[in-house]
Amino acid sequence: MKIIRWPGLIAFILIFALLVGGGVLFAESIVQSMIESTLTDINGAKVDIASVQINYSPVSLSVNDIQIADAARPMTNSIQIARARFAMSGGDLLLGKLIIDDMSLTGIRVDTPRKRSGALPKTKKTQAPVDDEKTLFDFDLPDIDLPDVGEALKQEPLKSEKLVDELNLDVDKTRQQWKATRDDIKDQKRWDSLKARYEKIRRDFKGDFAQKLDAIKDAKQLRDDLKKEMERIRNARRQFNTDSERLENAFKAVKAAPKQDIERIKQKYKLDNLNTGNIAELLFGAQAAEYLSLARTWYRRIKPYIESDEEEQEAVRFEGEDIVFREFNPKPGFYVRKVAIDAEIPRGRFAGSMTDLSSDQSVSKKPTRFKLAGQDMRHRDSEELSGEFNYVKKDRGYSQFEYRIKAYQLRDFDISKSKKLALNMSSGLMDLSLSSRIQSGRINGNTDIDFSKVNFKAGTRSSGAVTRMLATAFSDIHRFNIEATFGGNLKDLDMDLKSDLDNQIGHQFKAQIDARKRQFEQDLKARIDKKLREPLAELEQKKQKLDRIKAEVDDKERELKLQLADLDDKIKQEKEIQKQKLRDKKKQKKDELKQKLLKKLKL
Amino acid sequence: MFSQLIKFIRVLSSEAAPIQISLGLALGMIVGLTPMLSLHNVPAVFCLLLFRVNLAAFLLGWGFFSGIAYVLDPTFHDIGKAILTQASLNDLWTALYNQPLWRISRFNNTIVMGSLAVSLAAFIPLVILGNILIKHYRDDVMEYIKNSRLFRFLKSSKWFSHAVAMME
Repeated sequence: MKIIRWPGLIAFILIFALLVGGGVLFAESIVQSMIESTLTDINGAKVDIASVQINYSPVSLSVNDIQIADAARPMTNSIQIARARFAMSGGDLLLGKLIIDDMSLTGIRVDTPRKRSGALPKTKKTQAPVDDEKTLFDFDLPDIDLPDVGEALKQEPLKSEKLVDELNLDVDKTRQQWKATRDDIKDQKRWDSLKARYEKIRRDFKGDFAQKLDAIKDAKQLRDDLKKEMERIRNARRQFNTDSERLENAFKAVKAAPKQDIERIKQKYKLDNLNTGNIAELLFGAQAAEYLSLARTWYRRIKPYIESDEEEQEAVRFEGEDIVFREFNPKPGFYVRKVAIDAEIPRGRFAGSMTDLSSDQSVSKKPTRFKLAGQDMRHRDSEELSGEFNYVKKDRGYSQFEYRIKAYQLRDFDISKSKKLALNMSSGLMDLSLSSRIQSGRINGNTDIDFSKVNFKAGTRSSGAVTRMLATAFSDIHRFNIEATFGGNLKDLDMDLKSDLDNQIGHQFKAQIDARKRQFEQDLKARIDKKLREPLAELEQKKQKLDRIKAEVDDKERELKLQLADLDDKIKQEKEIQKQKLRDKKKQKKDELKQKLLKKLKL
Repeated sequence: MFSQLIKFIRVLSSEAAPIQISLGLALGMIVGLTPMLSLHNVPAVFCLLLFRVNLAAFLLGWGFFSGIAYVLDPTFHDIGKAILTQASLNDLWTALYNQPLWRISRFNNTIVMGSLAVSLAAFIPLVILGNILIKHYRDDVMEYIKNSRLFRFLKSSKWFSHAVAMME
C-alpha cells in the first residue's frame, strides 16, 4: 500500500501558496479593515481609511486619509489625517504587539465635513451642545438710575419727622408737669406764711426768756417745715432729672434721625452697591466658560486614547479565555516611541512631536509627552501647546497641559452682545498663558492674559445712567490683564476671574458715580434739614423753657437752703446764749453760795 | 450531510484500508473539535493531503465533531483552563508564550488548549476503535446485510437502481 499521496502534497503546497499569496495580495485590505475596526471601537464613531500600503522589508505601514468621525456630530470628522507612516517591529507584531519606533502624521485637520454619517448603528447620538447666544453674551448689570431727590422724599416717609412730632408732644407734656410742680413749690401763700413765722421767731429771739423759749420751739417747727419743702424740691429735681435724661436721649435721636433717613434712602436705591468689582467677570466670564467648554470637549475626544489600558479579557462564550503569562520583555499592546505631527488648522500649521504613546503606560513605564508649536501662524507671533499624560501609576494618573499665545491680533472681538452693554474690542493684542492639570476627574488650572493696544467700542440701548457711564469708561482703557483660576469636577467647573480692568474702570466709573452719589446725598440732606429746621428750632425753644423752670426751682432751693442755714444758726446761737446765761447764772449762784459760806466761816 | 454519509458507507464497503478510514475520522475529529483557524490544523490538513487518508471519512468526521464541539465548548474551556493554570506547567507555558510561533498558535486560549488536548487524547483510541469497527462491519455486518431478504428485494427493484444512480 502506498503511503504518500503525492498529488495531495502538491495540492497542499498549492493551497498554501495560494493562501500566502492571497494574504500578501489582500493584506492591505485586511490591515485596513482591522485598523478601522479597532479605532472605531475606541472612538465610538466610524473611522474610515482610504488606503493602506505595506512594505515588508523593513515592515512598515502607510495609512492614507484617516477620517475619525466625531461621535457627537456624525457628519463631521473630529480629526482627519492625510497620511500616517510608521515602521514596526516584525517580531513584536507576531507576538501581537504593535511597537512603532517612529511615526509621522501629516496633513492633520480638524472639524472637516464628512460625506457619510460616522454614527455607529447601535450607538445613541449625543446632542452637540447648542450655543445659546443669549446666555453666553447676556448678563445683568446693576442698571440703577440715580433717583430724583424730591421723588425719593415723596415716596419715603422720614423717620426724623415722626420723631420730632413725638418729641414735641413729650416736651409739651413734660413742660406742663414741670410747671405744675414749680408752681406748687413756689406757692406764694405758703411761702408768705413761712416767712411770717420766720419774722415772728426773729422778734421772739429778741424778747424775754419765755419768748425766746417759744422762739426756739417755733424755730424747730419751722425748720422741720422747711425741710419738708426741701424734700419737695428734691423730689421735683429727681423728676426733672429723669425727664431731662429722657428728653436728652430723644433729642439726640432726633438729631441723628436725618442721617439715618439719608442712609436708608441710599440703601433703598442701592447707591452703595454701585461698584465695578465684578465687571471683568461679567464681561469675560461667559467667554471663559465657552473656552473651558471647548477644552472639555477636546479632552473628551482624546481621553479614550490616553487613559485606556489593556483590560483583562473576560471569557466569551465559544471564544474561550486567553490566559496571559509573564512576558520576558513586557511591552504594551501598542507603543509608539516618537510621533512627528504636522497639522493644518485654519490659522496656520502646527508641528511638533509626541513621545512614548502607549496603550498601557504601566507596562511601558513612560508618560506620553507632546509639544506642538505653530508655524506661519496668522494673526499671532507664536502659539505653543505642550503637555504630558502620565498614567504610569494608574491610581495617580494625570494629564497636564500648557498653552501659550504671543501677540495674538484681535480684530472685532465681541465681548458682549448684550443689549444692555454691547462691547467689542475693535483691535488689540493678546498674550495668553494657560496651564492646567486633570487628575481623578478633577481639573485645576490658571490662565494669565495680557491685553495691550486695545481699542474698545461700547454701545448701549439702556437709559440707565450706570450703564451709560460704564460704556463711556471703556473708551479710555487700552491695556488690561485678566487672571483666571478654575477648578473642580470636569462636568461642573468653578472659575474665579480677576482683572485690573475692574480697577481701571473703577477709577473712572467710580469717580463719576461718587460725584453723583455725593450730589444726591447733599441734596437729600439739604431737603431734610430744611424740612426739620423749624420743628427743631421750636423744640430747642421749648427745651430752653424747661431749663428755665428747672432754674427757678434751683433758685428756690438755694433760697430755702439759705433760710434753713440762717434758721439753724439762729437756733444754735440762741441755744448757746441760753446755755451761757445758764452757766453764768449757775456760776453766780455758786459764787453767792461761796460768799455766804465764807461769810459764815469768818464769823 | 446525507450524501456524505452515503459516501462513507460506500467507503466502508470499499477496498480502502481500515487504517486510512479511521485516520481520516481521527483527523476530522481534531479539525472539527478545535477552532477552525488554529495553527495546529495546518499539520492536520497536511497529514490529510500527504498521507493516503480517506477524505470522505475526514469530511464526515469534521462535520460530525464540529457539530458536537458547540455543545462541548464549555467543557473544553474548563479543561483548557485547568491545563493552562497548572502550576507545574507554568514555566513551560511561559516559555512558549514568549515564542512568536506559539503565540500565533493561540495555545493560551482555553478552548484551543482544551479541545486540542481532548482530540489528541482521543486520537489513538479512535483510530484503534475505528479499525476494529470497520473490520467487524466488513466481516460480519456487510455480509449479513448482503444476504438479507430486504436487501435482495431492494437491489432487484428499479427504484433502488435509480436512487443509487442519482446519488452517484
